[in-house]
Amino acid sequence: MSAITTDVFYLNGRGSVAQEPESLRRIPGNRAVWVGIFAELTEFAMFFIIYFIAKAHYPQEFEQGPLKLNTLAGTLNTVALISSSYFVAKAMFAIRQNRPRDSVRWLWGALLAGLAYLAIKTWEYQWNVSMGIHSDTNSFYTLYYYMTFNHLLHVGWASGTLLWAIFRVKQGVYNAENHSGMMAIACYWHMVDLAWIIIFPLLYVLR
Amino acid sequence: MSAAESKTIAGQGGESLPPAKKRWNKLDITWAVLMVVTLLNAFVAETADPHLLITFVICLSIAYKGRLVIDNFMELYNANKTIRSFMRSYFYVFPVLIFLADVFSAQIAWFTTIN
Repeated sequence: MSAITTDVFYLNGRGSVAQEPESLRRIPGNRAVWVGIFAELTEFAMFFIIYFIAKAHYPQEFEQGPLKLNTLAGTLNTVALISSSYFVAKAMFAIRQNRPRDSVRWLWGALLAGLAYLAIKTWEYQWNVSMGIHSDTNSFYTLYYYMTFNHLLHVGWASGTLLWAIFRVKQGVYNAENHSGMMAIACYWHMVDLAWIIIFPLLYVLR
Repeated sequence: MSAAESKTIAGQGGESLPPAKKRWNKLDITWAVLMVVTLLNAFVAETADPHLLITFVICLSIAYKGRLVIDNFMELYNANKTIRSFMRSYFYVFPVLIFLADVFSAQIAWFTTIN
């Protein structure tokens, strides 16, 4: 306890979030969610490796492909996901400070950002169709749809877990003393954000 | 530190502390930096022609953004070492692979062609 004081703990989010004693050398959330997170990351890793191979075989398709995609939609999706991750982190901070109302507000913010992602992605898919971009147009777009739709599904069910967290905080089940379940949900949500951090440049930026 | 001690600390009220939401904190700054890097990525997507240097910069930005989310949002900076190492290495390995895939694309195509 020598290096960690209550003040330092409450600096979490202001000073250094890394000084949160609860997470010191411990598994955030629970073991089960980390099995899930690593399984999901392995799945995305497979997509990325397939992307490398396909790009090596069809360099022209992968050079031209990103130019025809809607970069604005991809950027807005990134903004929505990073913001939602931030809101979830703020919700964790609030619940540790025994401010459940604030925590619920931040969780609603995260959920709305997740829903905004889903709405933007739907608009983007419709825009693609209007521009003649389909999953069988070429190998780049096949991968684009495969990766982004798979990711969209993850955002969808992770949004459901945020709704569950809101319900549990309102019930008083998650509070300052007990919030490991909420931390597990937060970690899963951050994983979904992390996957998009790689997908966005692969599909929209790099050629 | 035991879990019980952590819970004790977590359970102590924050009445004596200044309101956290009134000032910029590490989470806010992390979010702002991530936004700036994302917008720079979008700018590159719209303006830059393909080049290895661009690929290198984008790979750096992926690694940096991943590290920020893992350390600050996911709070793994001081958490379980195995989990932290795996998560961080994901964002070392894939940016490097993205760059190498660009450099050695001809070799990858040759190696993965079924004759």
